[in-house]
Amino acid sequence: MIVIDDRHHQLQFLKWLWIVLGCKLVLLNMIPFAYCLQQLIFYGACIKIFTYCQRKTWMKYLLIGDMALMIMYLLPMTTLTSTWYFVISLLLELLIIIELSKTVAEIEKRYYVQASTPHIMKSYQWVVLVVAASWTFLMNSDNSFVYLLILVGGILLFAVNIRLLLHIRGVRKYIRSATHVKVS
Amino acid sequence: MGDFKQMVAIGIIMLLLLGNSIVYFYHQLAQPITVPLIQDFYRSNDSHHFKIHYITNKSDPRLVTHLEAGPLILPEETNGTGNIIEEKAHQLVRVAFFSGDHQEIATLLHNKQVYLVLNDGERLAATLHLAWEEPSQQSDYFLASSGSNNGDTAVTYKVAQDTSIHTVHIPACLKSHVNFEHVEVNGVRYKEENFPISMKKGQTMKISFQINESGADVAATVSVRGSDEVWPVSVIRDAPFQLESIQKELQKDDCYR
Repeated sequence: MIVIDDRHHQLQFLKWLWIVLGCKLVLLNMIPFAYCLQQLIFYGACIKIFTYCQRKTWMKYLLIGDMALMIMYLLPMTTLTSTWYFVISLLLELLIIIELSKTVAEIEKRYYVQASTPHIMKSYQWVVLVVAASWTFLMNSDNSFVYLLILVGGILLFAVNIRLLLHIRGVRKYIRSATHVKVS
Repeated sequence: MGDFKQMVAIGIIMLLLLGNSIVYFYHQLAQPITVPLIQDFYRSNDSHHFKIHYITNKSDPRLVTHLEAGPLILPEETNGTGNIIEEKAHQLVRVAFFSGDHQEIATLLHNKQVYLVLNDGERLAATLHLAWEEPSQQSDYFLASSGSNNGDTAVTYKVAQDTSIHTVHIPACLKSHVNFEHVEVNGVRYKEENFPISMKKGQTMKISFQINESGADVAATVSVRGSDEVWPVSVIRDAPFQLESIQKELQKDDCYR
């Protein structure tokens, strides 16, 4: 787990986390150019977040794995490889976001009596896992069912991401206005 | 504990991914297959057109560039544009269009081995039953023809002289694909067991056939016949995209060359 002490760093961390989550808000896999741009901003924001981390975690390896996977996206893909790509990258990014959310919970604990991030992350995690499980069927489905799976998955991901985004925004606002830091 | 559940969930997803991959590989074709074609050509036409459907894996981008039958080479006419007819979970049905003059079609009919050649040079054996349409001697007035998606097809003639219908003629190769329904003369329906039936000059007759769903594309002619007259009915129906029935049809080698 990463612990950030400085209040300014905490705010910076939350700002970049906001960008990381913002990148995952809309599913752009169908538009290669937009998707590549989205991924580049995502990676950039993740790398920036690492500068606020005092301890190196396995997040780095997850990110490297996700970046390596991105190379696969640039190669010509079949329904088989694109399904693997969709699912694995979704899982890797989920694990990265779960790691980052643990830091948010840590920060929250310093200001709030009760931290609500773990509660929100619980539903976030299960929704993403269910979407990933449903997407494993993309490779064996008819076109209409593929579109349905992607549409429903995209809407679910949008919903849980926006919930987390609003929560992070709330935490950030609170910290900015907080005058007292609860000493643990 | 949360981490444990998470890992189990990820494990299940990986198993789903592997299981789905196995299903995916099970449904892949070793090589593209061609849909059997039963077609008649009209002798009287100067140029002849026909199309052959072929089925490829979705991941297979190769297209048919030409048809090869002994010395004869017929190029595919559309250069592969707009050739996808239908898309399923694992395969695509594509179509290749060809045309030839009288001489070329005669050469095609004489060659036992016909191949569709893909753009990487691989040759797919085409399963064809091609024939010249039998000459028709009927002198009656053709009034109308109709057909529907479920395979009903009917032709209406106006009888020019007193005559009679004796038999239904369906070529051997088409027996399992086409059934005779009935002939309707002045509103009265006659089945094959009622034959022969006599008709008066000026009466209208409607000949109905049913084309079954099968694993072959059919573009041929069947007929009903009198003592020296033939009333032809065109039967045209593409094979629905059902891999099993197409593969079953490909096994029948009694009819195809």
